Amino acid sequence: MKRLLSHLVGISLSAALIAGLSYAILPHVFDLFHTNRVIENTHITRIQGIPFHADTLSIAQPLDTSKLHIAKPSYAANPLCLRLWLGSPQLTSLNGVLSVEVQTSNLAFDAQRVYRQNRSWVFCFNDLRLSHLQESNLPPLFLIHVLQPSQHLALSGIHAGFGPQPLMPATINGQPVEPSIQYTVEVKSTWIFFDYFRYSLILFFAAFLFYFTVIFPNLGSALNTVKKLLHKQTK
Amino acid sequence: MFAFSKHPTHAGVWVSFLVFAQALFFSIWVTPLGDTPDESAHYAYVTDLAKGLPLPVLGQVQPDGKGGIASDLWRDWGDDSISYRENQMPQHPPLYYAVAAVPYKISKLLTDNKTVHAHATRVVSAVCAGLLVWVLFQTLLAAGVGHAQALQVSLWMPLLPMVTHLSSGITNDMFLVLMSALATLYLVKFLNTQHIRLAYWCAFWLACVGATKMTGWILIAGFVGILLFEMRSTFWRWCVHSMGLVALATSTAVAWMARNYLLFGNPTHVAGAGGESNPVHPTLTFVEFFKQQPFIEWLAHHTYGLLGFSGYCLTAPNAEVLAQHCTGVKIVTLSDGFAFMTLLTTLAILGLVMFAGLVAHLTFHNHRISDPAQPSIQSSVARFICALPIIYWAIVAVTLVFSLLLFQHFTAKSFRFNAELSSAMVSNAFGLLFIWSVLGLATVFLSKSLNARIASYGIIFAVLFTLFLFYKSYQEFVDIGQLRGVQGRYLFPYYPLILVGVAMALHRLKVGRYLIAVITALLLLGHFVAYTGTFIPFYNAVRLS
Repeated sequence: MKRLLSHLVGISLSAALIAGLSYAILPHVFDLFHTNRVIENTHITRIQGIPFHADTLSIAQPLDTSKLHIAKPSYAANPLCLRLWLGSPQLTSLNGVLSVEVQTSNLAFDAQRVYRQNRSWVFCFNDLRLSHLQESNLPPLFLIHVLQPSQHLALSGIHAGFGPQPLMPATINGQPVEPSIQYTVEVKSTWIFFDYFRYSLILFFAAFLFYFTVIFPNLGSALNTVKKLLHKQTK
Repeated sequence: MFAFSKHPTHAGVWVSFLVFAQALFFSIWVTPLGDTPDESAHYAYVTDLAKGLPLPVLGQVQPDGKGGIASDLWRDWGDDSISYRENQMPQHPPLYYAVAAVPYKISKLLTDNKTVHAHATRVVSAVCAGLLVWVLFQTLLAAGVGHAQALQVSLWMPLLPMVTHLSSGITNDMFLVLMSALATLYLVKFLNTQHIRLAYWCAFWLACVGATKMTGWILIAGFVGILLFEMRSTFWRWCVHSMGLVALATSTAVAWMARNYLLFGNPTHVAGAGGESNPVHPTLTFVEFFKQQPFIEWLAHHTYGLLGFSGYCLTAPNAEVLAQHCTGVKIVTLSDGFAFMTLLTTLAILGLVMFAGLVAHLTFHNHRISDPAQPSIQSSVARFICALPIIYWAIVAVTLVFSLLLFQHFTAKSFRFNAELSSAMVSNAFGLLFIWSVLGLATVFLSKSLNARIASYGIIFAVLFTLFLFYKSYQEFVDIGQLRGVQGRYLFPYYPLILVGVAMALHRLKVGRYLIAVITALLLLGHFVAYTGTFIPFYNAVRLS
């Protein structure tokens, strides 16, 4: 009984320690309890002219893979555009809801032209010149800012390229531009029991494992070391 | 009160059970159905095997749906028409799928609920995760690592969010890792005792690896190579057992190759092979590819956490159904932040400690070790080179210089990309791992210490496999202009042997036990933060209707 109690105390302290450290490292984890959940600086890979899942993107526009990576000779005349598929068909305007910017290694541009095509939204950067991309050390980085959180504002596809209908990947001198995309999405929601349940159980597992692998096996020897040190000092 | 030393194995059982329970919890309440890598395809293969023989054939969808992925695989869409798309998974041998078909079949007998069927099938991966911890624990004990340290290091793999993710889904990856861990257990036992029975057990588990996934075949070659290289025996006995071990270990892989040859005319036929090639980048060189493409960065990201495969949206029968039911971002990786940095810091520390340890071993300790009486190929080579000091020191010096040049190359790459701290950390951490492998390669030929060699074998084969992946990615990039197939999980079967080497090395250091405790705590915290901070919010964002 005594041992069980000591284990319970150890596990509880471990849980408190993990929760405290997590809060110190990543405060927004606990935003759950303030009705907001945030995905921050999540990096999407595989935005290289090919969508992650062609099947899904085919909702909006069939993707003709035979045309991919064909140099687009008129790229200089066309602005760089970003097409987003948003799971919010009822939205009629994105003003004040979402904004997009592109960053090269030393410049940043906001999208000036935004228009809707079926279920997708196209953002074009009229001031961005080809030379900006060529001079950049880094691939263009698209930042998508969600200004007005909405439960329904979820991205379901992203495609970057030159021209008003960026269905083909961007190319520079015949080489495909490989943009990377970061997005910051805030999803507003009220807390739900299910999330409390999941977060609590994950904390429970972490605390158990921490206690049984790090604390419990090392506590005895750590106490012995402290005792020896104290013994030496008192001598 | 602190009775760990009296019942250390109890703690091992508890921790294994907890890892299993956590994976089960994730499989039911956290990971959306179909969201682990290619889960739809793996699940369809399982359902095919549950129908009985013959095995599905890659590229052939039968009228009953065998060999395809049904549009109603995960759920009924309210649409009676069922369509099938081709399944690429029948390219893999069937062992995992045959095992996973058992709980699937049982659940089908009990209920018609498709969600329950999927959850029942996922149990196999959760069990594999729990058993993996137990097998790693036993392996580390067999290698002479202390109980407390063995317990902690055995947890390192499940603390990678990607491993937890795989443990909660239908995939052959966790089963493959378990098989490779079992092969590692018997490999370590054999190397320590030289009991030939243990070598055959190792070969048996390697045969299971061969019957699970094609990416495991390279591991078989590596482990069999170690067995033959380290076997201490008379010449004829060595020949007989070598043939026996090779035959057993490669039996399943050879059988699958024979099947492939009969069906496709190519023993290593995989999905997408055999098409016409029209290279997009015909002049791109190997070095240019390395400099231009973030191969190492992606490998690191995908090793730690790559989530989001859009689940059953990929099996929807038509665009209208997709638009109605499926929303959300499709993929997420942990590429920055605390959780990922814990991994990179850990890798950098381990790479540095192991490299320094091997340098110290080869320069100060190796000559003091006496050879066992019974020779092996390894001991003969080591004895021969050690008898010629000039050759020995020349090899050590060349290896060190090459290692430093290689590391400089990785460091230069990190500065050239000039990106975030995490990107630079990736290059430097991987640079340290690579030079550990280079020095390890010299160690396995020069060292008289079994421990030093065990500390080298795992990383050598992991790096060789990484180079193989790199070459395949390069080929694919030349052909289609995309960086593909950079999957960190393909390296997981090599981790058990790497962990054994690391734990043995750290166990001998005075600060080793503290280092192990700190790394375990950091990985645990990183795992918690990754799931609560990124992955669950991601799942919430892509929650399907």
